[in-house]
Amino acid sequence: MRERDADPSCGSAAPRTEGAMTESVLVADDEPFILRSLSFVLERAGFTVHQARNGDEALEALRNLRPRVCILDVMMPSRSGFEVCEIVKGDPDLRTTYVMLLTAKGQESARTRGLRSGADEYMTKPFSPSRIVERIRAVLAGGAAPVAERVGDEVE
Amino acid sequence: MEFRVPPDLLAQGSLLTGVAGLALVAWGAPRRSSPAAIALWLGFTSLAASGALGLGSVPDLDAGWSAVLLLAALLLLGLAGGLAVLEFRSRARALLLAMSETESLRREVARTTGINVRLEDELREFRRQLQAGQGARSGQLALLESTVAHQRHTLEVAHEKLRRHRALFDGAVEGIVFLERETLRVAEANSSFCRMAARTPDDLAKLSLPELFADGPVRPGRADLQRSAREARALPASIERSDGHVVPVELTVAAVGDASEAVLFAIVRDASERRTAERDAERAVVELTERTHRLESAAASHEERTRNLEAANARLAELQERKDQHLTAVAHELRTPLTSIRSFSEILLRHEDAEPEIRREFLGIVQRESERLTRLVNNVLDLARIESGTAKLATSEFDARDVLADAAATVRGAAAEAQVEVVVDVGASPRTLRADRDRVQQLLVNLLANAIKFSPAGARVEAVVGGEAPGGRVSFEVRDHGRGIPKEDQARIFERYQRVEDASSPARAGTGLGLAISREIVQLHGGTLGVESAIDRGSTFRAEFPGLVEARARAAAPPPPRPVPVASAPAPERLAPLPREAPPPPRLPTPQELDLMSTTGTLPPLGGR
Repeated sequence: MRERDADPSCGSAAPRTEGAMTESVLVADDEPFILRSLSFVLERAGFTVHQARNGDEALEALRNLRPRVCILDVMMPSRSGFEVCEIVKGDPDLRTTYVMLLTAKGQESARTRGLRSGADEYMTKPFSPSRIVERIRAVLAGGAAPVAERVGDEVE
Repeated sequence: MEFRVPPDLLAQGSLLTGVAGLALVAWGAPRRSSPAAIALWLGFTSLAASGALGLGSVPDLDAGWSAVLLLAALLLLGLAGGLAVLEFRSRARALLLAMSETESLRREVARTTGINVRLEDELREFRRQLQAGQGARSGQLALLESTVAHQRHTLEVAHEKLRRHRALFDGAVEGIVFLERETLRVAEANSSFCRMAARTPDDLAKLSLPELFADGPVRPGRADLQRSAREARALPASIERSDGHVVPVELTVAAVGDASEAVLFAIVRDASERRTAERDAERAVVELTERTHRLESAAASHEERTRNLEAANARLAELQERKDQHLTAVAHELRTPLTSIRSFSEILLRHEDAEPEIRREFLGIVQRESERLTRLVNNVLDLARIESGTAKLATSEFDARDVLADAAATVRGAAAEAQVEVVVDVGASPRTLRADRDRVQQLLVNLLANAIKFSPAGARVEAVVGGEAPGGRVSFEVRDHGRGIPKEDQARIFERYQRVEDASSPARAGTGLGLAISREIVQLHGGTLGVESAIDRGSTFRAEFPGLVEARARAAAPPPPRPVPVASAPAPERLAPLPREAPPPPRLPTPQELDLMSTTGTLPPLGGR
């Protein structure tokens, strides 16, 4: 399966001209290669990328750096992505953070668990890095339909 | 008339005699009213009347009537006397008859009982006199009559009783024998006993009771009989019939009469039918008991089967769950390198402008992750083959030292990269091992790679071949000086995908299957794999293989059906054999399915049906 990425902004030349330099994204995963690949494409897309290798690091980064978007791997040491997501969505200061869950588990149970924990989006591995970039752009631009209201205040 | 010389005296005498006679008759009348008595009464009446007439006719005489009456009186009195004699005679005859009847009764009683009822001497004498025709007094006669009647009644009662008892004696189903006290000879036996012993009463009379008993474990002797009489307890015995058959009996001995003159008798019960019934009952009880036992054991085995089935069911359910978990884990493990490969290849395609170093780095990642994926797939397939029992051991006999050396050479590259020194001590003498050489090498490579992975740079990994005397068990030990494995994790590490390490470094990313496969390999050979570890001191993995003799025996006999490995649950003591057909190995998802999995998040059905 291959996604056809129609978004021209994903091209290598586009990112930094958007002026979205201040937008930061947290990527939390214990797999170093996934961190590496996501960081690479997000940085190329013009975002500031913060990395976390486990749930605790992710929470700490979320509190200190207040990224508007975070990508959380579900299977992480110390705290799972679900747990981090639940904490984020239960915290008045953090609850507006857009949470995207990443997991290798594609089963419905994991998906429902993910949605119940309050996640805004759910991605299964293997994923397409460019598609994630595209989604994050859409979210930050206020185009993410299911969460538009919530994130809308901060977008503008 | 001349005749009336003393007419007054005669008349007075007649009157007095008549009145006295009447009074006498009146006194005797209630007792007898025989013709003689009537004649006597009439005589005395006439006499009294003639006397009265005589006295009244003294002055003017009617002597004729008086004389007629007197004459009649005399005639009547004479008649009365004659009648009385006749009556006496007939009574005497009747008495004689009664006496003879009594005598015959007496004789019968004497015959049947041996009891001689003696007639009194007086009676005998009287009878003799009567028979001789000598006279006897009437009073004596009456007394004798009553005596005889009484005696006769007594004898009749006795005779009736005897008759009844005799009927009882003869009609009894039980044999009854009277025994002579001292000799225990059979004095009398009833017909049942005669039938029982198949002997005539005359035959029996020649024998004593103990002589009638057949030889055998229950042959009562004299003392037994006497004890039975004392204790009124039944004795088992066997009677030998005249025809040679032996009849089992049960006899009760009793004594009649005073102790000194007691007569013994025995009641003998034919026990053959009863014994048969008893034997039948015993057999029935035995059979019933047996059946009960069979039923119980059937119930027990049924219960056991049920338990086994339940255990098997539970294990199957567990196995199913484990398969699900396994597949989920496999999918997870496959997706991680797959995700890297896919991400970086996409990045390389899209970011052609990326710096050459970065492109090289990403290509390197793709290559390493491809290798990891290959290893993973191979391991999963290996494990599936081993677990399903389809893994064939290509057994041969070789020197264990050689295979360890080969394994050490294989990991040399990894060791150098990790700056770990691998020291192999193979000893001086060869250790012959009968096993699948490639599998053993795979095991040793796994253990060595594992040790290298957890060794800090500059540390040593030691590998040793050891074991018992030549032909005995052979063991390999691989020791590292890493950080060790916590006690609580030591059992878990042999389970699949149970990595104790944090796979933070790509170089250390294992498949999570190495130790599980290693243990399967050792167990497949009938050996054991264990670990000893202390925190911060390192771990020693020890694989022990059966010696040559045992291994050859194993090769000769087909291996038992492999128990389904359940890593964490201890196997039940007794497990019903699982269905002969081994469960099909978990089918690996096809690339299309993997693709499908990534998007739909559903898994293909288990197994290759």
